[in-house]
Amino acid sequence: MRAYQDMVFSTAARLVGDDRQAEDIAQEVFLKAYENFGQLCTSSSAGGWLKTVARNLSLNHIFRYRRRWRMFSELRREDSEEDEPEVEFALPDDVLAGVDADVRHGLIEEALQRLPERQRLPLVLYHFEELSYEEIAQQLEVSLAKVKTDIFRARAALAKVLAERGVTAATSLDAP
Amino acid sequence: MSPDRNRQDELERQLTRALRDQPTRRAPSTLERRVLAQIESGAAAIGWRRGFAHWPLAARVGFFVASVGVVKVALLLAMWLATPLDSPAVSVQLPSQISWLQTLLVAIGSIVRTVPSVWVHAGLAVLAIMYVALFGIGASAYRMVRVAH
Repeated sequence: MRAYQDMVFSTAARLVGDDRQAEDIAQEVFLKAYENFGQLCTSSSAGGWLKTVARNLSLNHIFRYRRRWRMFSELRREDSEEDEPEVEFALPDDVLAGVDADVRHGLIEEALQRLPERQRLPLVLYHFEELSYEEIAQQLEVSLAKVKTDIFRARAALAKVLAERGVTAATSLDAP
Repeated sequence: MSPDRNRQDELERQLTRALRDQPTRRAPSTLERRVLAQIESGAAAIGWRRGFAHWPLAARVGFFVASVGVVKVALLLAMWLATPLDSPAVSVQLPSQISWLQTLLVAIGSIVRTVPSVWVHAGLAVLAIMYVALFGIGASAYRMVRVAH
């Protein structure tokens, strides 16, 4: 368990964007692993199995939440989302260059958690879970075009947050 | 290639590099303890807490028989409440220790029979509206707490 707990927790935390929920999901993943211990202990792909289960449980958790509350809180947001203007923002080359690696990693994780779910999910599935656009569209039950648009917007939003926070961090590191 | 396309490609390249270098996050120190505690409690859980499918056969049969008994009693009570007061079925004499139960049931039955059906339907409608309203308030509160968090 110790060998995989960081990987499982990271997968869940980046997808659900909440550490407490991610810990609950990670716990569920390891309980499922315990139930299937007989197969897993002799398998060379235990890590892949755990990662897949962590991803699926995280997505199930998100979809369950979405179904439960959509009626009251997300319909209006989804409608307005269609009219959202295109975002154009490039990450300046040197924005995080002067920032310590640990600080940079923390900034990126924080920026990821601040992204709205509709942007964070496809971005994480693409960059961390290494799924193709088609696989993401299938997993999220949305169109291919929407996946591409959401990932593009997520990158722009992430770049913006990183630029803002990166400059702040660099400034604070330079400060006496 | 358009300047916009170039910017998008450059952004993708930079973020891919930044995210690829991102290390896995450290799991909370409580995770391992939680999993082990859950496994121990699961192993020690008594049968009825592990779901009906895991119960012993005798317990499942007994539970089924008891459930049928409860349903039968509920049906008898419903029939009794629906029976007119002057029916011979109501005049059955119960032991004196539980005669108050008969009185109570007869009283409830007479109230149920005298309430107009419109009131019953209106009451059900009010209950349904209250349920939906509370669900909405709960959803909004949850949403606010989640956004605040």
